[in-house]
Amino acid sequence: MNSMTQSPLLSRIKFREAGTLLGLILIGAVFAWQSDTFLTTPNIINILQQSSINACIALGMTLVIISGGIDLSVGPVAALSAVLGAAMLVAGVPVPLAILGALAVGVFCGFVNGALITWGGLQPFIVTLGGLSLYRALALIYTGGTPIFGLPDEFRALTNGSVLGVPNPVIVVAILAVLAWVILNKSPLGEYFMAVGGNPEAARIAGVPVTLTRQMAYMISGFMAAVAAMILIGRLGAAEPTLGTLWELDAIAAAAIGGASLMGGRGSIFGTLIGAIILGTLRNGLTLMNVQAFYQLLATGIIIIVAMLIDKLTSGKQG
Amino acid sequence: MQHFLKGALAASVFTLSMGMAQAQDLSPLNSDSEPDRMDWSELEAKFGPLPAPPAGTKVGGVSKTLANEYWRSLGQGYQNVATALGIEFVYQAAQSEGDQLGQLSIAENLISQGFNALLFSPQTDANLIPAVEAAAAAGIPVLNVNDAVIPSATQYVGNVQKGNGVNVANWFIANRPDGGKVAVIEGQPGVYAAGQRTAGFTETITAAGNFEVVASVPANWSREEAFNAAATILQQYPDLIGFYANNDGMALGVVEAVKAAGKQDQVAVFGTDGISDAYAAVRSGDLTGTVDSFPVLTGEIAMEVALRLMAGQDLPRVVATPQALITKENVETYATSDMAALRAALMAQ
Amino acid sequence: MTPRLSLTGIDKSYGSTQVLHGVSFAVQPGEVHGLLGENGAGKSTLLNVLSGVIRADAGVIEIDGKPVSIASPREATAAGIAMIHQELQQVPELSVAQNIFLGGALRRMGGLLVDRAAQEAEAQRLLAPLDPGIDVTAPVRTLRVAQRQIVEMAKALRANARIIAMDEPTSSLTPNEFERLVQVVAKLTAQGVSIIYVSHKMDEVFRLCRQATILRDGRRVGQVPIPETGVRQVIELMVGRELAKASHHGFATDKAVLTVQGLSRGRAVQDASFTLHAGEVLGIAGLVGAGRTELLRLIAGVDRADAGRILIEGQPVAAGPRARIRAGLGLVPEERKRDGIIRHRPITTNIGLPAMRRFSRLGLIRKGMLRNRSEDLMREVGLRPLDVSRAIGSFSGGNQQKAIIGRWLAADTRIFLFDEPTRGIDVGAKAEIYDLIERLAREGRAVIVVSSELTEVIRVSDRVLVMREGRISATLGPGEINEATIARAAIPAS
Repeated sequence: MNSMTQSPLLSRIKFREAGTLLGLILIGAVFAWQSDTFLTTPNIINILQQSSINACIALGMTLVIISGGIDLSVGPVAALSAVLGAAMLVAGVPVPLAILGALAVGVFCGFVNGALITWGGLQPFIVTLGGLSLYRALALIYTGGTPIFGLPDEFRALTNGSVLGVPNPVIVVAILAVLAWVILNKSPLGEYFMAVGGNPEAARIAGVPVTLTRQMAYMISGFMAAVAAMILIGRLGAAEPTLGTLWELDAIAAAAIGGASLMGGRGSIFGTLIGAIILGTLRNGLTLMNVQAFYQLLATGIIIIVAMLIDKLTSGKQG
Repeated sequence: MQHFLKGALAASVFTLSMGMAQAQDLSPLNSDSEPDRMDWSELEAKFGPLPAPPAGTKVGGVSKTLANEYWRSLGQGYQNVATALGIEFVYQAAQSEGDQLGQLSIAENLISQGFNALLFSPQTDANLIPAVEAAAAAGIPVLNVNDAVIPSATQYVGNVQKGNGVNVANWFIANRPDGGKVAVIEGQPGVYAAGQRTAGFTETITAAGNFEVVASVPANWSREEAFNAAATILQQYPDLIGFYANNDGMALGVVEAVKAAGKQDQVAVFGTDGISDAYAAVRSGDLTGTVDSFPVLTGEIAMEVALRLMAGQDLPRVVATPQALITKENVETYATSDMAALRAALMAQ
Repeated sequence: MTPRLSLTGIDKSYGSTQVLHGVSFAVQPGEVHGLLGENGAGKSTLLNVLSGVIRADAGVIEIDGKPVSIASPREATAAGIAMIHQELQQVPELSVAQNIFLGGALRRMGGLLVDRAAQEAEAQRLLAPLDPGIDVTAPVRTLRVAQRQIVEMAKALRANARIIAMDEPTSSLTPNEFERLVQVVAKLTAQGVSIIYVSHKMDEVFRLCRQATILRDGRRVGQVPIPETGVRQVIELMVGRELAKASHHGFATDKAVLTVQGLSRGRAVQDASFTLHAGEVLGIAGLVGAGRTELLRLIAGVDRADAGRILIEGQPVAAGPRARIRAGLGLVPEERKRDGIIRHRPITTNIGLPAMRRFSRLGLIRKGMLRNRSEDLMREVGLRPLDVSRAIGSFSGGNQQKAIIGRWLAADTRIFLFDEPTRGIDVGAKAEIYDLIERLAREGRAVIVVSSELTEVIRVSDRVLVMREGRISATLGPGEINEATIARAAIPAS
């Protein structure tokens, strides 16, 4: 491990991750100075809880982006798994089965996206843009546009509970993040993601199963969307077909702040997590400072652009 | 589907009551039909003058988006009362109407800041539920102010959505005794307010017998979509006599379509909300009328209800806020920025 | 007579590699002048200097005896120089007239609007002497390649070009179309236009040109009159007088490891059959476009064959790169950046990609094992610097090539397919790559080397296949391999 830190590539990524973390610390310092409540334990837990859904989506998005694609359909996929999962729960399907069912819906949507992209030969942007409307429409048609209320308490307890004061959604997303990190950095699939995103033709010639790799990225993204959906409907106690609006943009923002390159081939799970927390922190801190919504939007935009500029400057060094 | 939803709603009574002490015995709220209700005009008569808030009272408000005039006006109403009584007031809104999680974060962030009461106008029926539950756990009273309805809300302040449509339907019945074909431009499908407004209009006017609702299409609160829909409907039904749009933005789109078709004299157009553009259009005669729900006044009433709750008054679950059909005849009466005069005019109604 | 165009002492270097060494070159008015040389001799660089795409480091360009500065394609056009590239630079959806006036449209209404009618009339006038059959309003994509070239010439005339350089203009022409081109060239030269004609096809060169300048390794070898100088002599000038000695040790056995039977894909590869033996190095020679790279990609499973099959040690192998890799094949592609390396990833993962299963346990990569194996392999092949966790993109071309070879060594590949193994690699690393190829053969692996450099093919091969227009035109055994035999089999008789 210590010998690896000498390598310019790895240290550059680490440098990038450290930069994201430094950004978070700076933002946190400003808020801590401006607001007394910011640095309290309940508020920090609040931030983590509020960031958990975006982080969950962004983890899947990061893998898709690294593999050279994009998934714009995450919000509607989440909505579809939410309403189908909720319908199962309300109909009395045992909770673990209903959750598995909802997750399967997400994975299936990801499979459809991936199949259209790999076997259909269509562009990821277009396919998932279509999915953005398609899955939303299915969710609306299934529910007739109205929310499904009345999720069993047994299910809600899963998302509303906590362990040692840490809310369960935060723990779930943390576990998923560790898994995603292991997949990306320790498993052949992770190498395949980076190879396919970095240079698909070279990867194919080197014997990488390109089709399967892409397929997996979208299925993981669909799975993550379904997990986020379960967390959200557990917290809300209801599943709305309109849930998940604009999630794709928040997730892309978190991944980009965390150092993922939309050209593919590069990205970091740790960076994405920090990116999601930065976005959550901004929202939390600016609300505590009673900054109006329009300026919150402005701050988010500035942070994203600054992160990209820093990225450009640091990657320029590599030549 | 209907059956399924009823089951779902019934089940939600059961489950929601398990977790929340405050929500015990409460049926899921339907703000239009809840029996435990009163009209805003009776507040003073039944519960006496507004009790003075203790020093250091802090109230927070969260609404949909400040990009919409309605929510800015509502905030203005909150602020009016807060300023008059020297209360600290914080007003926040999400970044856009679709931003459900963002609004939830804002609401949750406010709970940790020691407010004495919170006024929520949620994006959807469900998106603020965790904040409502957290506030209940922290013992902070929450008011659901217009227009999405949180089923577990203990206190709702807002207008009778159905009444908007009923008011317009009654105008047609009174002013177009011969009846005829009418059309509805609906808001976003699945949104409570849109559904109730449409239902109020359609049910009332159909019951009159000589009217026919020939088209009822969603235009998603969009002026442009409403323009296109209205143009199509006018082409299909050249003898149409009126439109009801679920909000003013869409109604103004319809007005443009009617003008383009040269049918201003034949087709009456009504909106809902009473935004300033609508008032101007009513004055100029382009828009036949709108149902104003007086957002500034609604905000004032909501803040007053919050203060009464803090003082321990046991108010009904729903407090209905004023609304009135604005036409060219009465537009000047209601177009006042003097809230006291407006209150008097509405009381006299 | 003052030459129409003369270049004197042109130098050009890319980094430390000098690609043009004081090249001089002159063309008379109304002359068709051949510019000949092997791939990599510097023809393209010289044309790029002439057309302002790149700037020479030193040297003088004169037109009609006056020095001119050509710093950009625009200045080249202004100086009366036009280029007709092998890949025509046209917008397929626009009409013939629009393409002719691309970038310099005729205008009316004070320059606000394009005057299409005037453009079409002028295009008609320009094309009439060349090929009156071309419809100036038709989109260019509907034209045949030969017609599209004529449109390019009309465009050159419209820019008042006095010098037109044609780079391999006939590579996709039929014999009839070539005859048409000969007539058009004759009409142009009759108008005093000078033509610089770059081609591999000797018969065409001898048909069209009266003079030819020959380049080799970035130097001018000489200018020869044609047809006074014979074909054989011209080829010898191109490839170099000193015949490369095959300092070659053979390790070939008679054990067949790869059998290719009737492999075909479109016109690119037609009915290729041959057998490769353990320990053998098989060279594949031929001109650019003869189908060598395509054949290699078919064998590697990267492209799908229309017909034919391959057997490895007697067993048929399924399609697709993964099946072929499992069966023991590995492709070292020509375009390393595009087809070989994952630029941002370290040497280790670039090596480990085809053999991830080998370097994994319980679904996780054994990074330490991968690292040790990579380091061992890279030490053997002489990676410099020997730092396998550095991104491969930060290494030189030769070192990247060593890593790609290491990739297949790590995967225990038995049949190596090299496509232009030393393209873009400096001289020192070239020798190392040759040594590696020899080592592979010594270890009993089988090797195919596609190369455009005759000296390279001669140096490394036990046998040589020569390809011409998609077919294997000759198989040269030991003792038959030299420049002349290869060139004869490679150059189309037309």
